[in-house]
Amino acid sequence: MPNQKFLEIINATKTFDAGGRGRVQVLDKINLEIHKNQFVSIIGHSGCGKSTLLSMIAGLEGVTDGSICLREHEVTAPGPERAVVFQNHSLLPWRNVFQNVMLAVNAVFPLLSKAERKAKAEHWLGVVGLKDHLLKYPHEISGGMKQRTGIARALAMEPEMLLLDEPFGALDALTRSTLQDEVMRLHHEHGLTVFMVTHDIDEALYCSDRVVMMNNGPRATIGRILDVEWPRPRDRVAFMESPVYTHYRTECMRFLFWRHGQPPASAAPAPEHLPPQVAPRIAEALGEPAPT
Amino acid sequence: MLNRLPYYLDLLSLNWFIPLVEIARGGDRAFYLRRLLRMVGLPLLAITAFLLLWHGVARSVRIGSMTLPTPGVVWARSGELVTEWQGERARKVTYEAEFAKELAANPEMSEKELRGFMPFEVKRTFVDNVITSLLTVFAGFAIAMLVAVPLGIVCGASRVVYEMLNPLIQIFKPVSPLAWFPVVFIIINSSTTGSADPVVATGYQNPIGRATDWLGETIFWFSNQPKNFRIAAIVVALCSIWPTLINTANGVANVDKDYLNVAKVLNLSWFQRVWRIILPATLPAIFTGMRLSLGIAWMVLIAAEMMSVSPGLGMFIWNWYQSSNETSLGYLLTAVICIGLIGFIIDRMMISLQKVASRGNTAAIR
Repeated sequence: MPNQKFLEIINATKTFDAGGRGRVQVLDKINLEIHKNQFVSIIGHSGCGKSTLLSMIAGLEGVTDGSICLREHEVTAPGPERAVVFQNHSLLPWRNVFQNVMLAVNAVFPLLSKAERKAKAEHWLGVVGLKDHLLKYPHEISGGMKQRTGIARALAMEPEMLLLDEPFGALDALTRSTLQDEVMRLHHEHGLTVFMVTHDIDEALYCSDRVVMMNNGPRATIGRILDVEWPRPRDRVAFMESPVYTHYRTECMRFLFWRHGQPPASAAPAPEHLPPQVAPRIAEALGEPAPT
Repeated sequence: MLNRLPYYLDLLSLNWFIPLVEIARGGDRAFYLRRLLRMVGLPLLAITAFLLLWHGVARSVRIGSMTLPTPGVVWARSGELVTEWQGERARKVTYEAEFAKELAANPEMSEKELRGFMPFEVKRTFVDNVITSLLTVFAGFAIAMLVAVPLGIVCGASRVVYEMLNPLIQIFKPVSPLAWFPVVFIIINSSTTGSADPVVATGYQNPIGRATDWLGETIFWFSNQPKNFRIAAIVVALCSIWPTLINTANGVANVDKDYLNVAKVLNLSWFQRVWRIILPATLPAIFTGMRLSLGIAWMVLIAAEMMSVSPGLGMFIWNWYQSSNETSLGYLLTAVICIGLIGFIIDRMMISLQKVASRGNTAAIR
């Protein structure tokens, strides 16, 4: 059913009670549609309400006004079809890797036999490459492995949609790239719909089909949506080397830093002599629209 | 096994042995010997210096006609106390052998009748007092924990209950055991259960009809203990309940929001949330509270035993205080050091439990 709407966010507004300072409106009339098997990233300055939007889709927080619908049913509570990977992995330190994933399997598949549930947990840990670390505790493994466990826990719920809240923010660049590729592979192979909050432009562009750019809060709205058209599976080097990529990146930078960051006047002027191989490329990328 | 040994030694607070194990594992001998020397040598140096200072002061200071006991005197006194205990045990063994012989020689007499003819005079020695004190402190501590942990969880889980009870907790927390004592004394003394001697808990009718009703059995056992014992235990409980109550409540209230979000995303039921997430997350805080509680319990115990004339270290001290003379000082100091050592060992035990409870975060506890 290609025409069926998967996730619809209609006029979603969120207002928080800020104690003595009255009420603060974080999000203002957000409208967004996410199709099945789409990879959507949301990017914006910190405090603009990206994570709040993710929490609302997850059902951890309610909308103040408007609605969020999944397959035309309103989202009011968390559900097993929407799994969340938390920013700081949120593994339970008193459970080992296997037990952390079992927690999810037990919660979502209580009717399966113990052996079947064990097999499920082991399967998903194998998928993220942790087959040899089942009995380790969170404090005994690296940050990347912790986040893999978090992803395995989310996948073990066998969700339709994966919600990633700045999932790789705390990782070093190399581990981050590996995990990005891994998540893209999972997205591709398992037909997952992915919604990712990030503040890394490269991550957003490389992974996503659409990059949603948020205006600054309070009363944040969607400023721009960029469709990233590059065939999957993607090759990191080929994509990032291409002028198309540079074009996308410049668009993002323009939005995030010119419209919402420091005014360009206060910045130091660009060096007069750009390296010869760079200047024409930028001009070329900016001059002509991206090939489709 | 050898590889995990340092970890378990650390859990048991037997850190002194870790360098030896490391050397056995083939670690750098000089490095670990230096560490051992540091770990064992420095405290030993301080203890030696303290003993020498004590000795010097005791020898040179004279108060009236009285001299202060030197460490050597205290050591001799503690030796005497242990010898006395061993003597009593030997006497008991001899008596039992004698009794068995008499019982075999007089088959027409029942055991009870013969006991009437051959009474054994029990003499409480210092070691018996120590054992009774430990029993009393753990009874009081157990009562406190049975109330504190569930109540703490409720307080932490519900903001309303916490705000209701917090003023009460804050008011009763600073009350001294000496203030509690008369209240507890009058109430327990006018109760009807209990006897002068401990009664073995027989004839208890299990009201619930379950196979094991440990709570009922325990309450029955407790209510059949001598009144003095119960008074001391309840005073200990009243004073030691607060740190655990407050720590548990704070622990539950401050469970990492991420863990609760995990529970929400997984749609865990209320029971699963408490059992799988909140309790394990709060366990380190509960054990921290318990450690503080047990420390207070041990300090309060001596005062409670002194006032209730319940057998134990408190009574031992009270008796020597009443017959105050030159020899009593030596015995009193022996008791003081013994109290300190037992308190130290109890605290170490609680640290071990605390470390087990907060697995993966042991560095935080010292």
